[in-house]
Amino acid sequence: MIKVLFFAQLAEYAGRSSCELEYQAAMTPRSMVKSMVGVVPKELTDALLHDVAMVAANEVMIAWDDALSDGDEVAFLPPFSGG
Amino acid sequence: MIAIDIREHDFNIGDEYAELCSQAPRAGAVVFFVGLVRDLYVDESDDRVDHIELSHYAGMTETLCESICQQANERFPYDAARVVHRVGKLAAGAQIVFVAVASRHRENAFQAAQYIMDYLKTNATLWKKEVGSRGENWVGMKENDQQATLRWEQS
Repeated sequence: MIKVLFFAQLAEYAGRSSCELEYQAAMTPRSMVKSMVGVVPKELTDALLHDVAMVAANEVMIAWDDALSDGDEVAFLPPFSGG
Repeated sequence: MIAIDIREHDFNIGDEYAELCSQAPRAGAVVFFVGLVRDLYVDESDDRVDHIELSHYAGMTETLCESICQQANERFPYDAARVVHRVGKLAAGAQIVFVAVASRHRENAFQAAQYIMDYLKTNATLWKKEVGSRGENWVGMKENDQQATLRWEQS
């Protein structure tokens, strides 16, 4: 199982801040989002596939094509605006 | 000594300053910065921001802030640094962030405080939504904030 977290505008698009997905072999953040197309609100997949969101696995930044492992916590992060 | 505190409730500058000084008994300089909620939009028109809503990735935010402070310490060695960042609903005029650095001499305290503040804006998992006369808008990363961090990478 993969725990998926959405933050800020992405959470609003998703209508939730987290969900769980079944782990698939060779899964990456990009393949995960592609598998969500048609299942979750279009605004969410559009933003994830075309905007500049970043990804973290287990609170460490990773690339969109890095391999995930079963049990990972994957977070999709819009551009930061703290301070 | 690095202290990071991400929290909802307000901070008292005197208390934070005293806490920092207690962690750096041999310091000769303290520089601190306080960020406030502006009631202006970025274009500084007549529209007004009523409040902001700050969200963050609990756990990762603290880790990233600590890492930023460590990087600052490698470039501009200091005795102690303290970062307090508020989250939740903050009215215009409220305090958002406190960054303070204590060091032996003033130059490193100034440089490290600015370094930490610049990277806090672009490299920490914090998100700001403005709520005001223009409705609700998520604030994107500002180009001048990105330029501010690039400046450190090029120097």
